[in-house]
Amino acid sequence: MITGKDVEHYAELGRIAITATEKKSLVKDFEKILEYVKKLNEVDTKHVKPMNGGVFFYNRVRSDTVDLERKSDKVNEVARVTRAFPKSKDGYLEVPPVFTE
Amino acid sequence: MQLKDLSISSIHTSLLKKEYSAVELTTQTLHAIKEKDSEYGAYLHVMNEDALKSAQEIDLTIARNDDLPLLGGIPFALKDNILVVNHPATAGSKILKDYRASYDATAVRKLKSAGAVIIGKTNMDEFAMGSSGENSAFFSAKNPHDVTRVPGGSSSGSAVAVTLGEAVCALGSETGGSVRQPASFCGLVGLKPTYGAISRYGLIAMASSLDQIAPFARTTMDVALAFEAISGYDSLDGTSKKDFKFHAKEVKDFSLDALCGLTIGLPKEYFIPGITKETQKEIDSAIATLKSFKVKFKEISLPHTEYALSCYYIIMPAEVSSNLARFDGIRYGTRGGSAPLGEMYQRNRGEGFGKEPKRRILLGNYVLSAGYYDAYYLQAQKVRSLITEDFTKAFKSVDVILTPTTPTQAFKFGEKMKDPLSMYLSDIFTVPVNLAGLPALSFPSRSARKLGGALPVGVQLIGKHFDEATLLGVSKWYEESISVS
Repeated sequence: MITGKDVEHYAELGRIAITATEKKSLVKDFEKILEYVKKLNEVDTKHVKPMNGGVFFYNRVRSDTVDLERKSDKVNEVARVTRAFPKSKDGYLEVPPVFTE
Repeated sequence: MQLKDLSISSIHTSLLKKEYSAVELTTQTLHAIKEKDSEYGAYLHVMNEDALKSAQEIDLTIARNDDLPLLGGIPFALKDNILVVNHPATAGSKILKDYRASYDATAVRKLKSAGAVIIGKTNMDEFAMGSSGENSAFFSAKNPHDVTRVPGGSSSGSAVAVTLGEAVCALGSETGGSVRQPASFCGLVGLKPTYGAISRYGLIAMASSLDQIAPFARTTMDVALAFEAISGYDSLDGTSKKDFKFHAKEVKDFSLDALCGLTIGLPKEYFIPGITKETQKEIDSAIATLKSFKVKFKEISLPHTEYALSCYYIIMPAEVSSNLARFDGIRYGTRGGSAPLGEMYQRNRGEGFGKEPKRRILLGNYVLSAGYYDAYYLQAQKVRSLITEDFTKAFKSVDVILTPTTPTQAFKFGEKMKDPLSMYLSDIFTVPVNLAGLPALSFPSRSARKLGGALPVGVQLIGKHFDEATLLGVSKWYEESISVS
């Protein structure tokens, strides 16, 4: 059983404010969806390995360096990224204080 | 020129013969959008200036008698979750309404260098979550075959744009059927490529282990040419396949002998009572047409099919809950007020996300929670293995699998919005392919290849990993056979 309190908890984990009306309808949706997906438990998976990705099961690593060769417009690259910030100051991303008194 | 009748090769020939210029074609396309699009809602953002600029470059190429690439001057539309530098990319969400992309997606970079003219960004269900286009935070795109019906989703606008002739080809994205289902509802060819065939760099992620960029067009060859242009290895996507390169020529050269030699499987789990009479009739007629070519058919079984949708609705929300964490109003999105950090996140996300993303983020948090992880997420991953194995076994005795793309034709607006589960069920035949990472194509059956006729029905072909050429080959022969009869 899913309660309003549960939904509140998962909304908090997702950092999402929800209204009382949303909460009510989410409880209903959750019940229906969870009832439907429950049938997965019928499947015997004792000797089955989980598929934890798309198709290929290995890690592909690369060196953590900026590949400037790829960039057609090296100078404006940084400016374009910072322009996408909701708030910025001197080319830095501006964030609200994490610790307040 | 009739925009709806144009194909890549017909445009290419006309441009070379100077029957019209690339600028004229682009101008006419932009004009068509201005005239009609407010009624159909295919586009969220039209790139008038940039489109004309690329068309001018193509005309210069022609004037200089330089080689004109096949995609040179071809009008393309892009789903609004694919990044084009300096242009908006809302992903159909309010939370990204002011965002402008700071780089080109790899698929976009490839299209640009192939000379394609990018016309604009198309409408979609918010963050590609939905099967009707109704979850767009802006407005719903309408099905050109019947405006009281949905065009399908989540790549709703891309499908509508191509159907109306407001683009020749369009890119959408697939997570559980978001290109095949609208292709089926609008009477288009849509190809969901093998996972890893097209770079996902610059595609706003929904569920990373399932997402693929996928092309739409009115003909099979146009889909093949678009796929050729955008597929291939990209070091910027860690899941991109290293040695894969698709050649559209394989489809052009796909011979009648090759077609006749095929065995197509009909999985009994897909031919269920939920399929409407009209859909069943069209599927039977497509099978009969292929049989007339001496293609062999065989009943097969994919025993775990009935668990695919449940499996999908655990794995996908789990990945969504993590991928959508970045939209917080700090790095992306709209920042409101000066509340303490925690409250600010909650408010930005509460106001910025619509119903469906909220539902899926919360569901994802639930299935990943301590205590539920093994019962839901791990079990779903294991069932995903079994679904994939079903296909592997089936492909030992058949070359291709044929099913309906969707159980019904396009449904009415509002019909499924109150009950999310009924909306989810419209993807029941497309989801298994994404779980197994396979390629699949939807092509329109005979009945509704022209606007104004019956509602379209899509036929789905599922293939072996990286065997897109066979799927496109079968679709090409079907298309040719019904255009002569």
